[in-house]
Amino acid sequence: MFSEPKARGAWRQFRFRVELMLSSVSGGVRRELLEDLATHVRELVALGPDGASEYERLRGALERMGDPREFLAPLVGEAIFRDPPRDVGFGQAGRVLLSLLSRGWRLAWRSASALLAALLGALAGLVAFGSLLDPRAVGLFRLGPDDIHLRLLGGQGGVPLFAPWFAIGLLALAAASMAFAWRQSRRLILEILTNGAPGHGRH
Amino acid sequence: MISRNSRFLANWDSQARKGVLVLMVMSALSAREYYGYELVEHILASTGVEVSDGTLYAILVRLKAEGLVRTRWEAAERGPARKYYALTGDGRALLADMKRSWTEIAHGVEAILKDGSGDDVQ
Repeated sequence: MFSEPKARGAWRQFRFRVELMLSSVSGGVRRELLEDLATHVRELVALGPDGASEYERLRGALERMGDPREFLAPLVGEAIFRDPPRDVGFGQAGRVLLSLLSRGWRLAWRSASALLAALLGALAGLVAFGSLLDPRAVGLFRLGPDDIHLRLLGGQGGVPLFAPWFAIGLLALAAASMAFAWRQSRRLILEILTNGAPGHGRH
Repeated sequence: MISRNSRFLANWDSQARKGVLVLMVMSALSAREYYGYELVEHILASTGVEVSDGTLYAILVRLKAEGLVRTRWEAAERGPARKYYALTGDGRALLADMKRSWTEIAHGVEAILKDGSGDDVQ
């Protein structure tokens, strides 16, 4: 969209903030809104003062646009733009976290840690439920005097150890991981919405 | 107290202008089609109301989603192709209702302001 690297960076950052703010809006509508917005900004840039650099004209255009938090708020609030309820909340956070993986190492690290915690929580939860449903197949087992096995995917033989505390411990781990992932992703999203993307610099 | 009052006035002023902005946008689009930048400039020139392009963008997106405006692309002499907005038939019908409603509101407000005009006299 822009040829000057500085203008490209400023546009990327603005677009990124807008994408995040529209993360509760369904994908198709979001793309359309972003295209409309890009058209609008392109028009403003093209009509910017002669002799100004592309970056300066873009800055002027973005100033004319105003704060995306303000002008997008009515759109995000409109039911016709929103996703069905099933995709709001966890789905929204998941989409944002995945999109952050390619936005510089700092954001990638923070989003990856949240995603890993969510994954760990989900796995721990699955194993815990497996162990509760079938304590003889999933859990910690003593197969011999010095032979203790952790079986996550099922199996046979051995004496279950620490049942049902093993499953209860895993459930607690799952809940803690999920809570960490949710808190981390929520904090990250709110931080970006309030201050812009960290690590990208201010334009 | 004065700064609080002036802040209140600024907020009220901004809300009041925003409230009639959709009416102004639709009314402008009923006369002819505009592209975004041109529409902002037209509203500023004809009403003195300064609209941020973002606010206008949001209004146009909502009107389009409701089927009240349609768009078409046209190559520009300078820069990228422009997106022109025009009112649809549904938009015109709604605008007529909105104008009626606005006239009623304006008359009502005027009547109240007239009744209360003596309050300022000491």
